[in-house]
Amino acid sequence: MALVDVIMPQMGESIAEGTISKWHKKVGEKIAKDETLLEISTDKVDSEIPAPAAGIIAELLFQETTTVGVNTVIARINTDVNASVAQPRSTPAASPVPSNVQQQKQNGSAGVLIDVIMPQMGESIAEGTIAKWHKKVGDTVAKDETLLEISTDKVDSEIPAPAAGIIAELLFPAQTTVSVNTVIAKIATGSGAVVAAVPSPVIAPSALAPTAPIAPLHTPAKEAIPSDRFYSPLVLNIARTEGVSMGELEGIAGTGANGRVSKNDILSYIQRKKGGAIAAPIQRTAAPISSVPSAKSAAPITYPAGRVDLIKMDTMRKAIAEHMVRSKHTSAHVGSLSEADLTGIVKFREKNKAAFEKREGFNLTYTPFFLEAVVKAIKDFPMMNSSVDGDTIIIRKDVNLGVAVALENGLIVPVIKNAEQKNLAGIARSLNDLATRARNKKLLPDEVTGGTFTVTNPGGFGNLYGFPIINQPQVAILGVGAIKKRPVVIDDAIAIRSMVYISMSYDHRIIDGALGGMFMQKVVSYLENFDVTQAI
Amino acid sequence: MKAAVRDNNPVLYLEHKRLYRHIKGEVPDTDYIVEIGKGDVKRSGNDISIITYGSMVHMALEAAEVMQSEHGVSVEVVDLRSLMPLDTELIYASVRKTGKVLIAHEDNITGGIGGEISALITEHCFQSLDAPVKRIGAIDTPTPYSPTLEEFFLPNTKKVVSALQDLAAY
Repeated sequence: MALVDVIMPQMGESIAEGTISKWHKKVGEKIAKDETLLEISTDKVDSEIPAPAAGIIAELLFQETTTVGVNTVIARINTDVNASVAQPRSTPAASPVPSNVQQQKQNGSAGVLIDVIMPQMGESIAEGTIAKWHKKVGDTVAKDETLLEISTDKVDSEIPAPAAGIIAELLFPAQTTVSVNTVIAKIATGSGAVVAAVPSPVIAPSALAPTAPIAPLHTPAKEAIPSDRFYSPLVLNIARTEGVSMGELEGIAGTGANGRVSKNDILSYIQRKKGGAIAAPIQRTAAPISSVPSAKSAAPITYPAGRVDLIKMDTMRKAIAEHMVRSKHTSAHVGSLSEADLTGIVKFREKNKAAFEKREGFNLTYTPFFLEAVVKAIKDFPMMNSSVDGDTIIIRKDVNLGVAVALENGLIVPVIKNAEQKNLAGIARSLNDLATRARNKKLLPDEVTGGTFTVTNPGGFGNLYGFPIINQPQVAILGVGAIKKRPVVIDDAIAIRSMVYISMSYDHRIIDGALGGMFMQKVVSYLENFDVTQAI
Repeated sequence: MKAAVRDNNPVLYLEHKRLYRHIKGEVPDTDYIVEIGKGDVKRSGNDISIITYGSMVHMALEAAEVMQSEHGVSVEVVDLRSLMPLDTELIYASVRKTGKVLIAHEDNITGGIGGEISALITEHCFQSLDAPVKRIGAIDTPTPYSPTLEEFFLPNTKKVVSALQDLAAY
């Protein structure tokens, strides 16, 4: 096989080194000549570096953010046409063991391969997305050290290595979605593996995988949303003069950049059409044309080049976006706002928090008090703890309270199961456990599903109240504002009390203002009449 | 140059010293003259046009040969020979034939004549374009003296080939 070296280019006269800001390709991926392979930043300029040759990425020798001197070899491209494309979605059972690892086995030098499989993250979860590999091929990994991060549509998790050793293979690139129990990586264990693999970490699995048929050079155009495709003035001109309809144009496979139909593409199409190879395309394309306008949702957003930052949404962000919009489309949101005098609870907490922290090992926050009040109010108004299925209302007997927890780059709603069976301290313990693990990405998918009512905390940053969006398929969400001392009138006298605003969004399909209002007043009543003499 | 000398009007003739020393070629034995304002198609092709003049003509021809032999792309090379008057009809005819254009000169990209030619092409041949008009020239810095820096600063055959490949792939 022929390996072509990619070197760090000299980006300017006085520039001796460059930083690899981003790899656009991963090991095993196919690259066309002059396709962008990586981005480099120097102190002067950022540049995209094209591949010097077409082939398969055999090695990426430096990680992102590494600074490398000019003329250093930073990657190798295998230009051999027989080189296999590492098929990221092929079944791993068919994926071969790299020959270096096989050799270790044959030599008897203690090389044992341990498979890492995609774990089942919950009963109903059939697949997971590899969010990030923490290790590269050739890296040493300790048992239980984090090997990768997985996102499912429910939760993100860090997956520990099942054994210590050297990463022999990572079978899927990050962002690939893989079904559960699929082998996603192999770890070579034993001392022999260490000796064998460390000096040659450059052996990439793809370079060693046996021959697989390479895709034809002129791959058919990628599936493109028809109306988004660009046609050059020349192509449109030719189409017009030759009587090629837009519908036909959409059907032509482009060989240009990003599947663009080039002059040659349309000319050869016309030639084939004249030769009778393409028959009566008009009827076939009539339907797609008419469906195009409705498929377009909104006008494209325009922005001045260079004056914006573009951020790709991660799995969690996409899930939140989808969930929130779907909720607004599903439920008829209506809101109510109420206030509660928390003076008693504030005093109770002040009195007990030191002892509580000493005993339990974590802070007693205000949230458990609200949760307890909500649970009690739900028992009074079970309709608040329900779902809508078509024209049926499902009233749930278990009170599974979801609590929104803000994360660095999103939020997650772990669920306190059967909160109705827990006392205040029990709720506080569950909440602390779930919130801590949510922030450490250690939640199990079952712990973020099955909620029947959600409490969120718009007051967390000091704001008075918020207007939450219902967490489907629930029918209400209660928002707790910031607790602030305010002058209030009690028996025609002005007093300073610790007050809080409580807002609630609920689904007017099944909960009318009367029920919503009564429920909120019940929550307020439980908060204000909290028994301050109780022990916690 | 003879056309300039024999012209009754003042003519600004840009000498290219490097060409004097580096390029050799056959010339007719008898008196001949290159008419001012007439360009010349130095190499005929169908896929991409290079619009160029001066020493870049030679690099363009080398690059066109590389593209033909290594990539099977047929490149036409248009030597402008005079910039003012500009042989626009010759440029337009070539662009209309190929649909893809590379303008190559040793001048700086910004403010160079390539920008003007590009504007003319998009104005007059828009319907014939199959790719954005591409330019290649010296980078936007003062002209350096060191050979290494000059190499980096000036366009060369390799850079022309690379630009042609971009156009071919578009």
